Amino acid sequence: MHSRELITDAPRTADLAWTLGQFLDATPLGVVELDERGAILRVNPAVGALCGHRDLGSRVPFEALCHPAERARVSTLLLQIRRHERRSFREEVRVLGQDGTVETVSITATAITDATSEHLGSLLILDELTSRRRQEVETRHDQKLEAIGRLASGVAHEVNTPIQFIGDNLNFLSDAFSNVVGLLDAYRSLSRSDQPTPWQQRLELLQDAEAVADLDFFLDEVPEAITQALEGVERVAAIVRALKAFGHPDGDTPRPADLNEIVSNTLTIARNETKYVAEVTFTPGDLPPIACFAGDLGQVVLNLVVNAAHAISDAGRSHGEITVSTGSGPAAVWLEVADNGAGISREIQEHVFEPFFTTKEIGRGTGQGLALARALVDRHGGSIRFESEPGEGTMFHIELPRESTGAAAPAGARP
Amino acid sequence: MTRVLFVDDDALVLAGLRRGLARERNRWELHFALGAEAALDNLEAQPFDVIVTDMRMPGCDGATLLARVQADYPDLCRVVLSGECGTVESSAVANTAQAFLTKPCEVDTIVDTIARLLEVRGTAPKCARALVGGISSLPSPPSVLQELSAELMNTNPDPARVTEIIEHDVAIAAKVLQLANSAFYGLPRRVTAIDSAVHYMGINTIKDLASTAAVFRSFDSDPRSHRVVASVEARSNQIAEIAVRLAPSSLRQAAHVAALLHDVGVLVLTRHVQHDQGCPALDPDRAADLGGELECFGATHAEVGAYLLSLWGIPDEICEAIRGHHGASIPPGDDLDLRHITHLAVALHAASLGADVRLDEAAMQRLGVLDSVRTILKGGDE
Repeated sequence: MHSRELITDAPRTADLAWTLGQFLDATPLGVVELDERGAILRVNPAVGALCGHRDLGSRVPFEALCHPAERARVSTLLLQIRRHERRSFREEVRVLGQDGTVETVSITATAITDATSEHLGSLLILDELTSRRRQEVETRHDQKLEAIGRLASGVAHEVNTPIQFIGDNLNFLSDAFSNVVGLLDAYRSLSRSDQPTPWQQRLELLQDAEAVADLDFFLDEVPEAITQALEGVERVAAIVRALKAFGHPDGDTPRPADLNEIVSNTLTIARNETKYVAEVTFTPGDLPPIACFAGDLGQVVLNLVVNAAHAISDAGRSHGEITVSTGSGPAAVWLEVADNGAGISREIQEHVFEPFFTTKEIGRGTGQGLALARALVDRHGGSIRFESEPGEGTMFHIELPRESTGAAAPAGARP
Repeated sequence: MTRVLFVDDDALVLAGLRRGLARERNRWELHFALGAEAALDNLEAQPFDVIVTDMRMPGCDGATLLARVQADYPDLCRVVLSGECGTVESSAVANTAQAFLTKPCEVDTIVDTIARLLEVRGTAPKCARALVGGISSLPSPPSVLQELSAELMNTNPDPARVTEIIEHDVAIAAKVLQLANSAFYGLPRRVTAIDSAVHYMGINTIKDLASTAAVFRSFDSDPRSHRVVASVEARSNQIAEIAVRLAPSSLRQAAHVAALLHDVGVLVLTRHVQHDQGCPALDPDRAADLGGELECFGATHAEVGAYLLSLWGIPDEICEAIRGHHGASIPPGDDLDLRHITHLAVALHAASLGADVRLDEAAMQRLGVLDSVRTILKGGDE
């Protein structure tokens, strides 16, 4: 409620009360007045919608509306207000909604005092967060799906290639095996033969059989066929693992993860986007695990790397280079993605983080890449900046706090 | 011995192919090049018969490599073996490759494809090979191209309308059938009808093709060739109508396609005519002059057209009908097939114009229709 002017300018108290009443009825914000002991005195209709249409007449304590796990925390906060230990607070709290659902609301509480600072009660404003949070998650997930969709054909190519040579090698091994079986039959028939065949003749028979079976060729090739088929299987497995890690939805809270692993997974997925234009070098630093949303950071790295690849093909470089490195400082870990691509011209440097700002042709980028990268880095309480020399290349530098800060996750969501 | 060159940027793919194809090494000499540059070195060092290349490679990609091969070594059979499928990038080689395979691809399919191309090439007259080798696309009249792109630019292009336009254009129909019969779209069986080709490939693919430079194209600036294209287009459509009426219902669509494409060879030959000279054998105002073609080019338009379409993987029965559309080559057999229908449609059309009619009387006799065909031809009208 931001209308101090409205209140002071209001000509008459009666008008003011009427206007406020209208406002309280209409606003989607829940407004709760607590008495001096913390029991509910009055609520507006929005509270009924948020917390279920329960009978709140008999001065129940506000905590009764909260999720059982939140009650102790809310009690303490309200007590602090009553004891003048704090004037107000703003917290995310889970409350019990209609039909036993749990809703997350943001509660802003302020003490109501008289002229002598005597505590008369508290005013609580409840703002519903669940659907907004859900929308945010959905938007982020959509963007991730879009990224995966864009990469899908590249990933298919990356998988089809090893499958091709796995199949070829297995075909070859199958041929090799049937030849060896043919040869074994020759050996067996000789070893089990009742006829007294002279040595010399046996030797010749076996040499012929080996020649027919092309034994030397197969002996040379089979070990490598097996090794390479297995290498192909490992390639496919690595891609599938990386995709799984990349596509895994992040939870509500940051979890400890290895930034180096996030980077190498993302580079695996993006390989088909980069390998035709650039040599990608990853220099992982010695990093502690950081509390983060791994999927989000993967998305950030992906956006930067794909941008780098595009910048290189725009510059028409024959030897593109993308260098990714990580490292850690006393308070933060950092990540750098540098390319020797077209660079960002001075005129547009200040716009690149704006949503929907794009210099790419239709179909190649939505203009969300860097805006999203910044939003996701912000969510971790980190920072992103870049240095770019038109015609020379660009380097993005990201810093993330070693310890998860309040910006990473809403206070109420922290354990 | 026949030499086959495989090109890929992944050494393990090449190693796999070398082993997978080991059983063919007594039949073919197999070579492997890591990347396009190495491939070009190989091609320079010794003559090859077939090249099988990956598409996406760092530096020079498969499309560029095949375009160079097409220009410098036109007689080489060109195959793509790609990890991509049905993408814009595949449209880029629609014009340079004769056969398309997608990874993962069975060794047997690779072997069959190479063997088919070698066989088609081996049985074609040497002159036809020289005439066809460098050809990758055929010209359409500009008006048809405009009509097609206008329809495709609509928010919701009508597949029936797109099919109708393609069904009436010799060059686009041939290209669409080539692609529909390639492994790129992974269709389960051979496609002989334009509507199923459009249906299977989808409007978006047709759109990609139409927007890729020179997949569907009009002819160069020579007005003489414009006249040839226009007359082939008009004649082929008339003959296709006759063929559809002659054909039993089971053969109707294939008869349409065979008759529509029967003069593809004329378009190929026209390309080899010097701008300033022209060639009397290809005079659009006169009936086909097979003797003149042989003299001028060393092969007839029927042979050349059939060879091009076989290389493109168009089903054999259609290619055979095209090879024999002027008659005299239909081997004994009792059943009416595409060859008889196409030949008869061409003959009837010629008769209706009062031109000389070449009739494979022996084949008509075997079908038991010689007398009635003669009566019709004498009437000079269908």
